[in-house]
Amino acid sequence: MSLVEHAPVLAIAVPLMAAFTLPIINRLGKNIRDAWIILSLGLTEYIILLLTRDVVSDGIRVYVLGAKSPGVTLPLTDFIPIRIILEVDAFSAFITTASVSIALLVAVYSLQFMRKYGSLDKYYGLLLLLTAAMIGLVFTGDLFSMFVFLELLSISSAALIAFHIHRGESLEAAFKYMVVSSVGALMVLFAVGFLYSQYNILNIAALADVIEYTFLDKVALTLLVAAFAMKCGAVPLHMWTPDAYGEAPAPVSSVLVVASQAALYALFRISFTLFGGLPLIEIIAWFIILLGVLSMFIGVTMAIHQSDIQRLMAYHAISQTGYMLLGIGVGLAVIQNPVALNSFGVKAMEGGIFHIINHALYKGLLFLTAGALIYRTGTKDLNGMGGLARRMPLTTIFFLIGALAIAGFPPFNGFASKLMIYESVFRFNPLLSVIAMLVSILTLASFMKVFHSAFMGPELKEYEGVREVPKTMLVAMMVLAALILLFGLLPDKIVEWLINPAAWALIDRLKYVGGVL
Amino acid sequence: MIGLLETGTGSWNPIMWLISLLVMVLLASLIRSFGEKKYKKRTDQTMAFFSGNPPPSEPIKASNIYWGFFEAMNRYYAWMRNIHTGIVNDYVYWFILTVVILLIALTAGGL
Repeated sequence: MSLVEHAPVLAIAVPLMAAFTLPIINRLGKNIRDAWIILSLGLTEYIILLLTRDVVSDGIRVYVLGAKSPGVTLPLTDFIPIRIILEVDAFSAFITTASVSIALLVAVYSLQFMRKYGSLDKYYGLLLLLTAAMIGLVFTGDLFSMFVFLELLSISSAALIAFHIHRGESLEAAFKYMVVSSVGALMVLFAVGFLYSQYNILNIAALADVIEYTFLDKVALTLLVAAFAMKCGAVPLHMWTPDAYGEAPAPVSSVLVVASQAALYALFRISFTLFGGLPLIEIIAWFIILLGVLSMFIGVTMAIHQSDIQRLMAYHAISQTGYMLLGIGVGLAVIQNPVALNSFGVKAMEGGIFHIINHALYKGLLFLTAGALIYRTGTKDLNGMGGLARRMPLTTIFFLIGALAIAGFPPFNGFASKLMIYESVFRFNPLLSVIAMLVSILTLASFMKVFHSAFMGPELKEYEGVREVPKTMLVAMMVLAALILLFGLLPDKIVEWLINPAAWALIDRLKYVGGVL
Repeated sequence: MIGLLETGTGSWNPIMWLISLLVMVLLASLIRSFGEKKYKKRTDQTMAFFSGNPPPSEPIKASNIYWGFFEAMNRYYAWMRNIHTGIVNDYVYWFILTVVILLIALTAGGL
């Protein structure tokens, strides 16, 4: 028995077990609790990296729960998969690499940031549950388990958003998030019901093999696309995002970014793998592109107007999601046209997928720098900040790296993925590419506003005694900044090792189907 | 070549970009070294230029930045404020509207 053989289930089980044992571990003392959290997330990260290396080099890995051997997908007496199957390909491994890396760094950052608060066993327990939910949502091979993990993700996220329970705004944000998530999850459940009632199958690969694209299938597709678009915060379904990201503790907002990306994964898995053969898939692709353009433009124009630093960054998260939707949407639009797909479709998808991990890194860093500012100044209002570069030089440098990366400034990672999107999307529709470039300029303008108002200008009297944030917070920010630089300086290697296999995992739906059948 | 990324119609090499930047910084520093060194410190010669007006004594706050842009886009932002009500019922209405539009598009496309 090798570790990698059981890695798909262990990646979910480790954070899940760590979460449920945390109340007991917490009784042994703070230091043991902290070590337990970092160890469990570190082990999860190790498993995910091992699995990523395995699927990128050897192809899809499946894990059948309850079978005699994890690789036996079809029972001897039947021709359809009836057990819960985890199916990991390069795209799902890629998404979880980003998610777990951010969760681990957020846990390291939180050791100091959250120290002044009580109920930390609940905070870390929810963080671990959210990590398990993200991995489960991405690894699962069947629609009903996807619904279950989506619910787990929503509940743990809502509780984390409401962590500052004494603040009415936090509770309101969590309530709105819960209502929106419940509506979305209900629609997913309806869609699963529509598909199950026709085909008696829940497994995505098996469904993709037999689906006939009936009217009910189209209804299911509509509900799934709309629900996952809402969960990833695409305009006009984005309204919950500034509330939730703005009111959650700053490190939680970093994790919510990658949680949204898990929903983005579900959106693309459904569109490409389950409905990729639909003759009308171009309509869905244009719908995703339209959501992308609206998200980019409305997200950035709303962001530039904000003076609450977390809300500003929340609107930027919406805007950056637009780039991913645009790039991958263009790939979907030409998926049934091999000439266009090879000419620019694959590059557009690579750009969009590369932007997913870049966004996780720089938005993660930016939320952590926002947290550092809040930690020292006690305010989220940019009007109340100023001159902090003198007192917090390292945070200033980390903020600048994140800000330049999100604005697509060379040689940071955001530039590489945006350039791939601009060039490939231009060949599909030049106007879309021009809008994407305009949004980048507005993003730079918005972050210059934050930089000027928080870090530059004369030193304010009330912040004369402010010091740099504690070391664990700096370490988390430094690792993210280093990764941004690494991804920016070696984009070719990242695309070759991670992004290209992930793009082809989405394009080649028959390979995903073949993983189970 | 290390760092060379194919971007679809062209390519991007951050290492070459950094080397070019370094050369430009060296050139700029060289040109700067030929400049006048006898300026008077802490006089108008070294003060920030603020369109000929005296610089403001109060620090410029976040809400003051891009004031002209927001004035020019006033109608757009008024519309955006109307849409972003903060009422959760409206969030659900937007979801229903999106579902209806997509369903009509898919159904009409299949006719």
